[in-house]
Amino acid sequence: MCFTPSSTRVSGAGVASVKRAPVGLYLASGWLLVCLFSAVFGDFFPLPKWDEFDYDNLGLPLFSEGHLLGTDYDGSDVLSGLVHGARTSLGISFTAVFIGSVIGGLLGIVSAYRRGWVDSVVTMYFNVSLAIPTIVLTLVMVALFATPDIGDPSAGWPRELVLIISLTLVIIPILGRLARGSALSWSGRDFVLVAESIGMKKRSILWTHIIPNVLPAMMSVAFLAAGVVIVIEGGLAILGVGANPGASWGSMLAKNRGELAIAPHTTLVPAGIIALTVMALNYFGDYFRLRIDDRESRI
Amino acid sequence: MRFQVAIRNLAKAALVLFLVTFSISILVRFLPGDPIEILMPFATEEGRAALRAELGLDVNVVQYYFRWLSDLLRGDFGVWYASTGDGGGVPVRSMLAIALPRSLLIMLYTMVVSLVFAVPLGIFLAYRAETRTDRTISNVLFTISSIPNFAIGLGLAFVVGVQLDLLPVIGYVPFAESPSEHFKSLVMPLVSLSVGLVATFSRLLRVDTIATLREDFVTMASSKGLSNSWILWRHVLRPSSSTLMTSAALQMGALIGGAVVIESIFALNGFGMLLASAIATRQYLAIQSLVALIAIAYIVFNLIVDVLYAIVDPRVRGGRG
Amino acid sequence: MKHLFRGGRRKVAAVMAVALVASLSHVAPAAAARGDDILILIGEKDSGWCAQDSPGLDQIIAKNAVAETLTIMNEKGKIVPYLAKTVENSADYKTWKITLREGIYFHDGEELTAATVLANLAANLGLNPLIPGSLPAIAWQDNFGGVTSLAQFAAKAQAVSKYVVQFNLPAPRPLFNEGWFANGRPVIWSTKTLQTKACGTTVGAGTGPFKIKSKGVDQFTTLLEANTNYWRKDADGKRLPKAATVTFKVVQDPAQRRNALTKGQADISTFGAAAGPQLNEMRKNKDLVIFAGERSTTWSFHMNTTAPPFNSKNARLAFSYAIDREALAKVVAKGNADPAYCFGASYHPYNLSQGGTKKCVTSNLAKAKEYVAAYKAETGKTLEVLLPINETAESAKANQAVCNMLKKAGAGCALMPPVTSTALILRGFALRQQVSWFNVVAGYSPAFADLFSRKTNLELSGFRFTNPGLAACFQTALETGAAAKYKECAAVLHGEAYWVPTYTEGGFVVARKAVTGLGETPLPAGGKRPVVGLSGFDFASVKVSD
Repeated sequence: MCFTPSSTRVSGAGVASVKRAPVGLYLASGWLLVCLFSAVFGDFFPLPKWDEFDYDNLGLPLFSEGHLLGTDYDGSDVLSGLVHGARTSLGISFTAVFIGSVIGGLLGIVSAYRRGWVDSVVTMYFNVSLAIPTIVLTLVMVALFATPDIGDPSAGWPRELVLIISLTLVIIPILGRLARGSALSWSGRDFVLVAESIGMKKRSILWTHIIPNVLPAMMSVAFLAAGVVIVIEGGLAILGVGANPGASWGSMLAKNRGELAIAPHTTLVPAGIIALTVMALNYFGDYFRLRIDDRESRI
Repeated sequence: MRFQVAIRNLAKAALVLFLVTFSISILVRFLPGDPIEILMPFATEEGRAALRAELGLDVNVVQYYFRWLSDLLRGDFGVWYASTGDGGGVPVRSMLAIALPRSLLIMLYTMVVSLVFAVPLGIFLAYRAETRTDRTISNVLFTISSIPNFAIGLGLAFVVGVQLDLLPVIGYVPFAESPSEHFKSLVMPLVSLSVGLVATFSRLLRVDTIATLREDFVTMASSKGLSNSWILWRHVLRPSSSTLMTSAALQMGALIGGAVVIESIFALNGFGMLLASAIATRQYLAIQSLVALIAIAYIVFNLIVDVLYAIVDPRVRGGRG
Repeated sequence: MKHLFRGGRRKVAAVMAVALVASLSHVAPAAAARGDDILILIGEKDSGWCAQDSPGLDQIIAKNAVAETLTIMNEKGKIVPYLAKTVENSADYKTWKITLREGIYFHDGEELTAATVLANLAANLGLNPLIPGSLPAIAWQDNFGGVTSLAQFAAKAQAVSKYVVQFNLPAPRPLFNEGWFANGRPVIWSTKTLQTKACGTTVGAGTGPFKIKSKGVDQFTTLLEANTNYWRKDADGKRLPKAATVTFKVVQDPAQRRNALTKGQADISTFGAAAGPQLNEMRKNKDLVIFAGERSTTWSFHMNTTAPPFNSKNARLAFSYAIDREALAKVVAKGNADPAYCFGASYHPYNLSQGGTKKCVTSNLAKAKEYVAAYKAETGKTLEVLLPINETAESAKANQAVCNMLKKAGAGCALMPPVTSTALILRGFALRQQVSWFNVVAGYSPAFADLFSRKTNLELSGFRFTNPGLAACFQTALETGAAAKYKECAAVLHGEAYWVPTYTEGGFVVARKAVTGLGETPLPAGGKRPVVGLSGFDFASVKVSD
């Protein structure tokens, strides 16, 4: 089977880079493209609305008429739910990871290169953030920001936004620490020392030498993190603070888990979709990591 | 020198702890919903003021924090306040005495079980690298590590718990009461939490081991003329290590969160559910104490890791000269 | 080999770090054994049981196992004396005399006397400094016309002899004796309990068949043991209760409760109609017996008229018309509930549909849209509704369905983050929600009349009617007890949508076949308690036979 990227090379020097991408890469990118397509263009698909309750068709099994993947016990169509859920789940996950990576990466790289008190403060911030459990942070943030005032209902922020913010806060220190560690290693490299000694400005060193070398590692972890965030959102949904019921894959799972014995497809199908997406993301993460290994082994 | 470093690390740890608990206590005060109003919405203003004074909520946030901190240092975790005021509530400490041990045990068992299976599996796969066996098992592990642990938990509860009727689906039995029931009640939560970890850890270990084997080749090659400092740089510049470590850190984070969800599914009534309940009912003291415990655990964990790394690594480096 | 641990150092560290914790196991309450120990699963976390607390139905079951009320509802829906021997009243319903049974003792040894009843009443009125006044005080204060000191109290309630209490009410209260049942809430505690701050939190001595062994420290488990000195006897005059211990375990997920019952891990469990799919599944199981309560509980939305949007009649009517009650009953209760167009059971005096098909409210999407537009014209804003939910999945489901219906009518709708049932109710009273989601467990007794009367609640809570005549109407109904008056007031109540009924259900209790004796204990005043009643179920005679 060729899903898992091949992960060994016989000694480092002189091995040619991978010439042909493994089949797994095509499958993973294909799946992610399908998800992204659903997320963006889902509204145009000829499916019933995801939050519409079809009261006469509760709990239809798979492959029923009019409902390709059946309905759950509220009468919501499972397939529409998945299509809409792609937007919510991927939206939350990708946004949180992207913004978290950018902010965390910047903080980490700058603090690694600058050292001194900047480094101490940033590291302290990372440690403190990592020590606050995700669950606590999200529960508190949802209660704080997604609970609007009774007099002005629209003042509350949408749940998805609050989730993005709290998950971004979770990602920042993780990617930040990685970026910092990586930047630290690279800062000590010969060619960087050489560049400094010839008087190259710190900023250009950062841009031309350090960042391009730190980025691949960050990208690999970012993909992994995206997968983990999707799963975390599902867990939060089970605790009641995820996206609104049925709006994301995780909250579909949480909403229908009571009927696992009766209509298992309403739980298993979203779970399967989550697993496939996480697999595809992990695949990319692994793939990038091995490309880095390759590069490293050839330097 | 080592002593100085240790003191500095401790100081840093204490600072982190302080910052975490202080920021949580401030954040939590912003939560909408005055606990006094929730407890007694129809009492007179005097009645409410009296309860507020009794519960110590009439001081500002900073004073409240330091009062809590001084209590905590004396071992008093505060009170889960009830509407009858200070004497009527349940001490958080006794609630913790019930909830904390079971959560810790679950985490302990999970780590032990995961390692017991992951380490041999990882090494085995590394020795058999690139063979059909390796590829098949690796793919299976890859798939398994992508399934959310609560999905596994739900599935197990149904299949094993109900249809096959082998294990209890809800509740936790302490070890002291009945060792066999104790383990039986934890099998499904453990499996749900461990499966993903075994898959992830064994894959990480496999790559590491392969890389190490590869390095040994390189070390041999170095005797043919490549300098030691070059090898050292390569060792330092191993972004894959930090990637792996970060990946493991991500998994640990998801594990702690996942443990709360698993607790909720299997009605284990552990630490996570206690914390969620405290947040929902605005139990400020309980929230602060519980978060402090998590932060302490996290910091201790990190300190131990740093210490262990210092112990393990010099030997490794020394061994390779 | 040492290289192994380079990658694994964090894992080893994790093991070591966590391994620092010894296996500190405390003896938690017992899991179910068989025969003399019963395990009952409920869906609501432990809360306080004392006068100031407002537990939900599931916790009332546990509370009534420990402490009992002066009067009780029998299976025919009639309120009969229970701890009381007789209840007498004057012709004008202003003077009431309660004679207690003799020889009833609390779990701490104190005897039930008139003095104990007075101490409990004082606590209910908010006169006990240890126990702050809360929701129940409002209803009681209304009966006594406002009592703020013990001197005033002594004038209105006295012990005439050791076992006889007399009440002198300032205004007629035909339903005073029903107030002593009030769905199992006003229980009688021992005087010592009322002098403890931990009343109802961790301790509480009542007269019930079981006494508290462990409560409150573990929010999810309450352990009770048999009261060997219990005053009721079974039909053959033999001692009660039959079980040795009862454990109440909280499992919030009804699917898991069903799993546990099916496997025989638990003996009895409660379910609401919203757990429809679970109930339908359990009906197929031959080893389980399902007891259905009468469909007399109406779930209703109560509108907060002190703040927008529901201070506007248009908004309220839009809400009421938008709700498709048939669909809601189907979606939420899966056939285990009826759509409710009036609230209260069919024989309830408020219920306008008595004897005919006249409805109090209707579902009509077109009209709902009209009223949404009217609201927009009136205020310039779109109707935006925020629905509160508790921690159960059913609550989220029901309210999500309502949200969808509102959206169809052109209004905006969202769900608030979940809170506990108690918090939901209290927050509603504190006017922090647009609506509150109540089950009016009215049964036969129009005991909720006092909620709508003028003096007590309207000044303090959101039960305010922007229609001034309505409050006076209810006050008169309360004092005369005349059914026609109630109907008149109810017509206005529904016509202006202050209270929007949705569906009517009864509770369900599911037990394994091996559980015997549910609902079999006779009441001393004759008859039996209903198996699934308004205050839960009676398990004094329950035994597990395997």
